[in-house]
Amino acid sequence: MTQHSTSTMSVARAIATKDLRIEWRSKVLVNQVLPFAGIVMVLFAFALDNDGILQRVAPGLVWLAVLFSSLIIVQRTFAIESADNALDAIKVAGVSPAGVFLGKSVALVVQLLLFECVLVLLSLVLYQVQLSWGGAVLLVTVSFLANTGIAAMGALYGGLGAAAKGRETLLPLLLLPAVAPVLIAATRATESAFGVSGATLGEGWPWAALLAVFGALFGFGGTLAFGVLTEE
Amino acid sequence: MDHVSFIVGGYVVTFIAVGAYVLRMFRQARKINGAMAESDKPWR
Amino acid sequence: MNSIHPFPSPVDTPTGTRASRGLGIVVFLGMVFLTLLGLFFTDEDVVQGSTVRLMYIHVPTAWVAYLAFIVTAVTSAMYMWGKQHSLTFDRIAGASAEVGVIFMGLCLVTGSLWGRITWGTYWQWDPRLTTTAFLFVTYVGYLAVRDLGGSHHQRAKRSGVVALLAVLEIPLVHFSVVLWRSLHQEASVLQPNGDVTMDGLMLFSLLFGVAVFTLLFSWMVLHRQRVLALADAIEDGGLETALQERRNEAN
Repeated sequence: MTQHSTSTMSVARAIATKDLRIEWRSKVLVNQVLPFAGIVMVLFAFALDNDGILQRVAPGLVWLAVLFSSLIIVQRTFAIESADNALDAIKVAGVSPAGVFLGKSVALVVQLLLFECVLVLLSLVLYQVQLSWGGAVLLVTVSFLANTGIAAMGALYGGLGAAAKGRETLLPLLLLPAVAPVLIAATRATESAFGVSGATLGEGWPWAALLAVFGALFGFGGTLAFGVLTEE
Repeated sequence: MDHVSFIVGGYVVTFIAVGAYVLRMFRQARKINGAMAESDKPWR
Repeated sequence: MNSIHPFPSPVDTPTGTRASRGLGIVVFLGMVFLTLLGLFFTDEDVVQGSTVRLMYIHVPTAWVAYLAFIVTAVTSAMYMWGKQHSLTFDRIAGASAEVGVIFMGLCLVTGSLWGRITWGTYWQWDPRLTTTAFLFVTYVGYLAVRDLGGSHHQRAKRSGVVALLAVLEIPLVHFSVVLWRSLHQEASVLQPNGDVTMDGLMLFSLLFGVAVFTLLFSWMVLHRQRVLALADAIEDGGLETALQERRNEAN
């Protein structure tokens, strides 16, 4: 039993480092997806066309951009695998699916964190929001917790789409409703961090707790379910 | 009765939707039925 | 209600039995009586006026929709943890979700018609409404997962997991929407609820509607589940025929 759990963790570490190394070398994320997220932020500004409104809705826009980008990131994470039927190879090799799930999720958390850093910086510049030190601490916590939820759901439903080849279009339909609580909670917490819409810093932390519950629940559920979902 | 069109509309929409679903279902059932042996239907 | 309809050999559907036909007739008569009750026999409500008449179908559709998703979750669990991994449970789950989506859609439509009269708007960001809309979208996704292809057991496992995840998702969605609305309270329109004191006949009509719609639901799921069984059997048969042809070619 101990043997098995260590192997799950080592599989997770191997998958996570492999994924991150691939992204680091290919630069697709940085050269293509990150600019997309930036464009989305600019387009929001064009569409809303009012500094006051922009400032007020900046937290929501940041998280919408994160969610849209997460769709692309998740699809890419599994496209790497299905390109050489690597997912099949992993399965044939008898690697623990829980390990694969955890590894994929960790890699997704790291990638999403990168996006959030850039998007928050952009919102400071483009939407003229203010961020205090206390707000920054809240924001980092919230980003990390929100990412665990998005990554867990993304890895689950991304894996489902990858297992059924050529049906990646299903991902947004499954993922976006599922992560709606993350959008609500992360946006409200970020409002507190930015101090917009009359939200105070203290009001943000309960939302962070909700995000923690979400992340823990689906991190745990996903670890159990991933094997069944991707099974042939 | 006020708002007759809304109220009757609600009933009509419900019946039409359920009816259309059931019709589609039965049509599909009849289409596949030809290729099936009676023994494959445990409810018979 | 559709056990009698004007098409060739109407009563003889391949999925029908004597029992299901009996149930169909009861449902049909019940629906007729419910319509009479709702539109003519009952009085208008003191508070809601004539809009209460929409409640006699709105409340039952909502009830059936939620019931359907509970049935889907329970039968999915029965498939996953049952010793046999019986595909019948999976097909009941699928049939129930399909029927549930229809009724959830109808619940949203009749509810927004009611809202237009009562609130003056078709839509309110009320937690109950929002959760219902999310449930609708989630189960549309569930049905799409069922269509992914692969073997029957693959379909059953995948959709079973999605159905059980939805059971986790929905309370979280509801909880977060409740919190969200409690912070952004809008006191724009007066919101009289559907839950007002009712006289005897009105209460009877409401409960009668719930009962009839529950029977309608079971009748629809019964048939749908059998149609799905037919479709599965055809697919299996088709596969065997194709394999046989291949073997013949090879020899």
